[in-house]
Amino acid sequence: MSEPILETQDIVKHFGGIRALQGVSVRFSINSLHCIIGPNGAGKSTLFNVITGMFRPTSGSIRFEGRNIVGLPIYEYARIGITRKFQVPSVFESMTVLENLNVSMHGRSAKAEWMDRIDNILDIIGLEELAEVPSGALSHGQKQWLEIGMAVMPEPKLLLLDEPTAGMTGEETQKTAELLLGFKGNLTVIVIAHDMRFVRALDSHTIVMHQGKVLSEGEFAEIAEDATVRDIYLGRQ
Amino acid sequence: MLFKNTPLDRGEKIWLLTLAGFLLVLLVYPLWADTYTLSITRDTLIYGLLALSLDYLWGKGGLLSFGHAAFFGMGAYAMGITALNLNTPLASLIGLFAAVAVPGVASLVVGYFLLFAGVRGPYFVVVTLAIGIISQQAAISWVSVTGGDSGLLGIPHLAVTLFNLSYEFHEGMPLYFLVLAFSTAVLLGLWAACRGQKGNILAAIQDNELRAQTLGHHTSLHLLFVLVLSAMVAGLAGGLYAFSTGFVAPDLLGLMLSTEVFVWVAIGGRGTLLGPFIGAFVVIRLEQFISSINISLWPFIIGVFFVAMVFLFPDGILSVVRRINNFVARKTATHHQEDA
Repeated sequence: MSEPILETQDIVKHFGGIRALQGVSVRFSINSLHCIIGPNGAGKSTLFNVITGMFRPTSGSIRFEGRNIVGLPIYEYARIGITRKFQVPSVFESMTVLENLNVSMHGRSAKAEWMDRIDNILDIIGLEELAEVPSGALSHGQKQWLEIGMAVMPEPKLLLLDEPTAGMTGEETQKTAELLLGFKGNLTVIVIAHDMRFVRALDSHTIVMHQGKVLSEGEFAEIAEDATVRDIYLGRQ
Repeated sequence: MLFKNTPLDRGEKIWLLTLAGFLLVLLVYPLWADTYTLSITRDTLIYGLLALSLDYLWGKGGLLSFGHAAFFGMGAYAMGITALNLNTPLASLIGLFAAVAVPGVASLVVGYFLLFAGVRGPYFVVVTLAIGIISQQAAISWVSVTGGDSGLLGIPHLAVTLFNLSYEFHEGMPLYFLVLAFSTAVLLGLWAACRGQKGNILAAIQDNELRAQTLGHHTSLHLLFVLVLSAMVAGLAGGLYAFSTGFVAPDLLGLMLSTEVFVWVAIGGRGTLLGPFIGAFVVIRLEQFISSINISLWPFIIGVFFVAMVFLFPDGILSVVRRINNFVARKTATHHQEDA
């Protein structure tokens, strides 16, 4: 693997007596796509929350571009280049699509380029016709895309997506996979996914989590062949 | 800055036109109003300015203060104490400056500890309630400075001295227009401050603060800015009140006034900035009218009126305009979705 953009070392996270993460060490290489799969309660979302500073790990370190980022205030993550999309769509419903994208920029730099960037993103997520519409009026899938658009607005280096296709139709899932594949080479994307068709469509480096640990990792084809993974997770499909 | 030049959208045009209409009425109003009525209107404008400061905090920042009169009272006392004790021709100007600065510093200290510790929602309401009560008690107890229960009397009108020229804003039109000018300037200033990116960030914080943080916004800092600016505007209103009426009393800091401000904003329309002025006008006029018929009737009527407003127009009088606007926007959205 090439030089990692993000590397976690022995992350442990306990909630009272519950051991949500029990020593997770993973590396994510620059400008590539990664999937995290695993049954409910495997610790996928907890890992995301620890990486993005929502939870402080009980122990372990997280290095982003070689720098330890544990303990940064939440708003710092977007500033150093880490953005995320939550599991439930959380666009700002009272605002228009355009305003949602506008508010996703932070800092004072390069404001003149904002409009170009917004146009570009609207085009990528396919909402250019709906720019002036209150985002509360969008369909579920459109909200998910808008949120992905918001997450890439500030030109992050690392994008974390928690189940971006939850509740989407097959066609919407396909579109989302194409959208994410389009980011390849420009930024690192880590996706938590449940839908095997989606993971198959992404066909990338895949990490399987189980009971707070990394069970196995590798290219999707290898993972799909792995007997243990099949047993606990894929086999019932 | 790009969004300083953002073209006005339809809602903003309507807002500006409404403001222009009210301004026109208020500008010609002194032509037929006698001095007494004019002073009542002037005081109502001052209360409107106080309500505006709460609306900026509550409507735009999403933080409800139930002790907002404390900042108003602090401004009034700062003005009064300075103007009565400083022996220079500039005393009243310095007093007005103090009226803005004292609540500003107080809110900065209080706000830093509350907001950076994550105090929001009902907890924030309760703490501000306590601040109001504490300030009022302090004003009553600290007799040597505040005059205790009887307050301060004989606060001189604002006087501006430039070289050897001196101008005092007297009762009647001069004071009225001074207050009108301050109100308009602050209203337009806050309106401009809530446009574009800054306003979007505040709306985002109200919607989902955690989400706004993950987008890179230091939300506590944004809210602290809003709180301090709001307290400064409330203090300015207090300062204007002190030299306009000439007296200051502990009531100005109290829970009663804080509650009334809340009612003005709720009735006028939270988040509209213009609504609080209308709310203050409607409620104060109604109060005078009903009190002239029967004094004890007023608390009952305002209660019924408030409950009726909450049922009929939960977002205030001005919300009618916004509702029409939203309805049209939603129509457009469904059309687009049918096309897609």
